[in-house]
Amino acid sequence: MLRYVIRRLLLIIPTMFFVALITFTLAHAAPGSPFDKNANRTLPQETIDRLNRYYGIDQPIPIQFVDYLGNLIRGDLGLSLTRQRPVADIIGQGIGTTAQLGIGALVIALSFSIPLGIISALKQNTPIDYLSLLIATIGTTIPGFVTAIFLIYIFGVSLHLLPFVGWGSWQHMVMPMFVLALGPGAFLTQITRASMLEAIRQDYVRTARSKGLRERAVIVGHALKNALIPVATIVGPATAGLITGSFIIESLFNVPGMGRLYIISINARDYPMIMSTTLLYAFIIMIANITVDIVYGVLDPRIKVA
Amino acid sequence: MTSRRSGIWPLLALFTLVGLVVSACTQQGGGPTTGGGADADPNGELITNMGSEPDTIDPQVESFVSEIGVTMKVFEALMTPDIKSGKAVPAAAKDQPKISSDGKTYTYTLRDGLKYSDGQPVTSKNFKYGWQRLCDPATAGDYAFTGYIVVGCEAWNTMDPKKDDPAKLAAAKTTFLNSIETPDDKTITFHLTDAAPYFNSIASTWVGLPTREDMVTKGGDKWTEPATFIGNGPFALSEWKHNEKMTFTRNSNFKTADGKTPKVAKITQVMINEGAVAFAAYRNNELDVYGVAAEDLRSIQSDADLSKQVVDGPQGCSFYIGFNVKKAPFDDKNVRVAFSKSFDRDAYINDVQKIGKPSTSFISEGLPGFDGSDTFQKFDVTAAKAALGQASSAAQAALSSIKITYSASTRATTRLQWFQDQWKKNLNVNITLDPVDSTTYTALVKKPETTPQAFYLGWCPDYYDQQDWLSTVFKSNSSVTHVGWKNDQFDKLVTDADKEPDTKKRDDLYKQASQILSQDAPVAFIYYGTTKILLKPWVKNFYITALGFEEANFTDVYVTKKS
Amino acid sequence: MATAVTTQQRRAAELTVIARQQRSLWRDALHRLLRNRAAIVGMVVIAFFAFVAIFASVLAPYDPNGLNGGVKNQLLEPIWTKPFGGQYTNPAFLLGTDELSRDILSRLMYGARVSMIVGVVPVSVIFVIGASIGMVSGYLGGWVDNLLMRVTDVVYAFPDLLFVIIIVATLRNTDLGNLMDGLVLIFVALAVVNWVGLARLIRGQVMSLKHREFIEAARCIGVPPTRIMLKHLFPNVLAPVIVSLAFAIPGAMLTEATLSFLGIGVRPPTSTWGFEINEGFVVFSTTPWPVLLPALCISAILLSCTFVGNGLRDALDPRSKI
Repeated sequence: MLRYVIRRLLLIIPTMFFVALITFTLAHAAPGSPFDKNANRTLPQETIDRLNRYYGIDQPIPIQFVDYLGNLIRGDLGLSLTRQRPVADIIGQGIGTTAQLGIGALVIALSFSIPLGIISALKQNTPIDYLSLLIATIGTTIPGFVTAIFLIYIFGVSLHLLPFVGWGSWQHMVMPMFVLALGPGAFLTQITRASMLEAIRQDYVRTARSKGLRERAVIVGHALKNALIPVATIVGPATAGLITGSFIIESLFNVPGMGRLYIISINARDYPMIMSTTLLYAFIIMIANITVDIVYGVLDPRIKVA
Repeated sequence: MTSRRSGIWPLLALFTLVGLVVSACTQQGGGPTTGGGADADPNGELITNMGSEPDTIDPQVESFVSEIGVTMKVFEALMTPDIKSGKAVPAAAKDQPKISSDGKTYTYTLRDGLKYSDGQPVTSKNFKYGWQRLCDPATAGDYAFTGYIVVGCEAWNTMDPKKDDPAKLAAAKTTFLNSIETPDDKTITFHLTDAAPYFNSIASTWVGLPTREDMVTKGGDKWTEPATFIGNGPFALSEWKHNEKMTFTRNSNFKTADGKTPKVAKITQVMINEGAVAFAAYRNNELDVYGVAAEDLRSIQSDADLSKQVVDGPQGCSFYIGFNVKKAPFDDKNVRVAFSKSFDRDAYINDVQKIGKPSTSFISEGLPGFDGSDTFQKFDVTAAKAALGQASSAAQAALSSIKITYSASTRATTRLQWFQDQWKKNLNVNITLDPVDSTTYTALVKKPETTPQAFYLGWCPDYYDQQDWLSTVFKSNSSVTHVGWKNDQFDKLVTDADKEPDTKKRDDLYKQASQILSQDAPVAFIYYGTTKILLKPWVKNFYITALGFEEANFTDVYVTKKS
Repeated sequence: MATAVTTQQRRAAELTVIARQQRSLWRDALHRLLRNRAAIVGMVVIAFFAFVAIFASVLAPYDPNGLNGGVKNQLLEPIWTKPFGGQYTNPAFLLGTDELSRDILSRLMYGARVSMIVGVVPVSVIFVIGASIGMVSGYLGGWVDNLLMRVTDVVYAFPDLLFVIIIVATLRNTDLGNLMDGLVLIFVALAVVNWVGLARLIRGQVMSLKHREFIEAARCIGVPPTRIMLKHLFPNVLAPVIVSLAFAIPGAMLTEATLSFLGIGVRPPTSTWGFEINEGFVVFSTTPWPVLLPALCISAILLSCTFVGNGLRDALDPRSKI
């Protein structure tokens, strides 16, 4: 087990290298310089050349890549080319908000998906079940930006119930968190329902029932415990997905997180920002993937990780 | 210099601040107001939208309107553009500068009692340090070139601070530093490479603001955070929640020459990217000012309250279609003239642009150098057809392969489709549209070898002087020129005008040059951008200048009690 | 000679058996699928949009990019708002117009085209690439397999939507990005990001099948590997592949819509539903229709695809539970 974990962790290094290589190549393949930013007040070409030289982006791309990796290994993420501030700072300011949004969404997702999944399984093939399946299907299918626009229109513009600009108070947080929670929440509902259905058909549940235990005790004490194993394993990647997938929601609700920065950086050819955000995202995803495999192995002794 | 459209999000700030006029039901501003104030709320707060997080607010690095707007609240320059005429009037300086007889030396004297927001006195050395940072190659600022008129700035600035010989760097720095003298704490003298009557206007911009050396050293890469972003202006940056908002509070150490202090206690600038969201926020009273976009006009006009809150601002940027005179068929002047005279500018404003004012010359209406008599490019199909008929046969042959390149967006495409339609209808010429993404576009139009055959562009000036229009953009050695156009007569006129100390003669030289530009038609002028805003009734004296700033009246703007 | 005949006969017999099993399996599946009401509704909706997409040029009342009269016909509301007090309706524009006076109905019809193409083309590419690499790597193993697994690690490390975004956003202005108004680049990005999942799925299936008796038998009698893969392995992994592709289609549509919503999808003025939402958002606080109508279209097609996907999954793999 320990060897497996170490091997997986070591594999992060070459993977990150290739993620960096691909991102770097793509980012530099885009024409234009980070200083070509204003079409109506173009800077003199000499100024652009001077700035390119100052920030070393007139160098051949392989050399730039090696330099970048060298700095990265020393822990230096560089200066943002458009903001002239350390990338680490800019990301540091955004990641907290993004994490807050992601975790809030996760809490919301869990708090409605697990009860809904359980009820749905216990009342299989009843109208309640069908309704929850329908909600889950809609939740996984409708794009978040569509839901967000509907909610902004209804609660923000028409009813004036909730603010939809900015971040801070619970009123600001509720809509973005809810929208973000919908997708994973719907998916978790389906998972909970499926594994609960499987659990209540197991022999030990039947045994428990035949011993004369109360239904409630059977469900909570026996079925639920095992049914939640697959749910638990999904929580890791779901969180990673929430953190890395929130950029559209952040943009729509003006949440000062880092997802929004990502797209702006790509467009502005802010190479150090693109690299750092992509690598950070990749790292979060990889850790989440590894955690799932490990947690799965720990929670379910029947599965052997090799 | 306009707010940037960050390509992906339709950043409305541009449309909003560079928008234009049609509607009849607007309250004609009739220019800026400054009076009143008896009903001002001493604790009043003004909330505006700055669109997106500024890239930087470092005065010697920045280049965008929203960024400069921040800096101009926090710092005060030597001069400031007069709110009505745009002429440079004293700000931190006591008076107009003393200019030597050869026009190459400018001496400014500071007002008494100037203080930074932390209480430290402002000296001429602080201003010198600002200029030093501007020209220092290690600052890597966007606008360093505006300082090249000062002796030694260009030579030092264009060196490579990392690879060049340190001794040479030091020598260049010394040469530059010797060209700005500060004999005492109140006096600063600039030695220029050439006579430059527009230098006074440069002294009213943000480039030489007195940044504090101790704060820059202390803050390092992060000196623009509130703790070290200390200025001598009407407000102090008290909070910067990145990507969310900036808060400014009244600087109690600040007073204008005539003793005025800021009337609002606090200015909050939020960062709302989406125009629709900002509009909704304005109607929710979460914003006091909203920059109107063309698509908002109908709902504003049909709303009794909103239609009363519209305020029209002055013309600023100038938009045009550029022709690459090095490529057929636009190497033939007749073709250029034909194209420039064959679209109906009034219809364009009414049907497509909606906020703006038709233009037939370069410099925007209301700004120094505007020439209302220059109507050579006016819509005239007969003349256009005649001009086209006189074009050479080679140019005639090339008419079938015209491509117009522009920065891709739906609105831009609609605009260009309109032109496509006009030229088809009026000249029977088919042109192809070629949209490319904004960053690529900017790069394309900058280099003579990649300049497209025809393209859509605008120019927004940085200060109120013809030099920043004609010489900066169209002089043949300018590296912002995009059309490859070289006209010896034009070059001579603007070169002379740039140095001419006599204002009247100078204006006349520029006027002649401007007419040559219109008649030789390397570009076809379309319209002047204007500002149209919605303003809450409790905000008074709020005004956005032609350059797109709101800074000119920080001590005049106030809010009444909202009760 | 005799041996040859026997082999052939045996092979024929074997194939007949496989074929017959297949037929009954597929027929069973079809039967189950047709009993699924949601899937039927989904198929009807998809067929409707496909019809509109194919005949958009005939059905659409206006040029989708044409300006219809500028100011006076801008932001018209759908005609059904008239009885409820809509002031800006015009019977000539059933669903109204957008902020540039383009006919929304026509734009939606042409938008269906993009969604359909994006649903079909990249998924076919993914199928060809994923299936061939998955089969080879699962059946032959060795360095191909090793390489696939390493590539998988890298691709899986990218958040998939962000990977698509970085490909599309950076390569938009290269020659590749200019092909077919940017559609080709979207295909490429979708294929690059998604083939790995399918390849892995097939690899897993093939690995579990390759030691089964019927494959061993085929190998013993000298059937060449390509033939084994195509004739014996492939039909047996088809069911899960179909299910996975059925879900890849709405996935691709959603990705395109998201890219277009972000303004980095198909080049304007080409109409796509996502891009219409992007444009309509500019005015949505005062006139919601330019946003709501394309949003409804996207929701309808995605839901329909998901219903059909669910139906296929239940039909082809009755044991699955989600």
